[in-house]
Amino acid sequence: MMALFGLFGKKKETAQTKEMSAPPAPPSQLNQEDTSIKSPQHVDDFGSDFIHISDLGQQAKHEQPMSSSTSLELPELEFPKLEIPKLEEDEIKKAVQQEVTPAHKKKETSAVPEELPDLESIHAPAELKGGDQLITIKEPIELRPTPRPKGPVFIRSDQFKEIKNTLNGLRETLEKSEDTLNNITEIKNRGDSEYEAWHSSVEAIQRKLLYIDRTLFEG
Amino acid sequence: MDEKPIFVKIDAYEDIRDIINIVKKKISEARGTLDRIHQLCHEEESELEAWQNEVEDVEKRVSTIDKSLFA
Repeated sequence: MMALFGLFGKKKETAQTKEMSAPPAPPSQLNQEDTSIKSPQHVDDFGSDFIHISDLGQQAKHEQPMSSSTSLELPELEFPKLEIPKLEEDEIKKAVQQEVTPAHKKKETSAVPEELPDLESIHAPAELKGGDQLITIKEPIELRPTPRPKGPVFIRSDQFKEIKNTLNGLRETLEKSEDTLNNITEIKNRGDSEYEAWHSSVEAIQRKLLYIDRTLFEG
Repeated sequence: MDEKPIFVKIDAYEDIRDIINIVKKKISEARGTLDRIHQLCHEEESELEAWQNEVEDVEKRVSTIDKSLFA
């Protein structure tokens, strides 16, 4: 224990000497002796006053309570006590309700008038007055003039037959249009092949003209 | 004896109405496609006319050279 205090004393002394003046350079013989320092296994040769480095930590642990009055003791810091603001239950419920129902939905619900406007006026971009929002309808809403029927729907038999005949005619027309489309595709393919032939003939003509040009004017 | 009208029950009325709306949209798209194809046909026709003029021009020049060299 004394050696430990002596060790700290030496450090203080060296610190003071360093401040005052720089130490002289060690001679070369000392350097040679330093290289021949014995390994820690020969520490026991120095006697019982010598303290092994590995024992310093354990001794320091034992000595800490005794040296509480020294400058090594960490000062006790007083941290400010953080208090979480306590919300009342009503405020928490209000906050949860605000998250559940976003603001824009609230505006939508509040912006619905009591009387609905005419269906034709829906096509134009509607502006909600009252300083709320400007809602622009990008795509026209499909208007269904007839309300959704509730319950079974019946149609007169003569109208049913007419619709059936119309659907049959429509099916025939679609088959014809498919044939027409096939014919157009075939014509287009023939045109493409003709264009390719034309392109190759144009290239052949260019080559022949170049040959004539070289033969007549460069030879 | 009065003839009473006969009615036919339609189960999928809503589905049929939606399908008819879709068919209307498709017909509108087909009309637009047909218009674009007509436009392309007009452009192709004008290019073919230009090509015909060029071919005639080339033919004239070749005939001129032919006359000059071999007549």
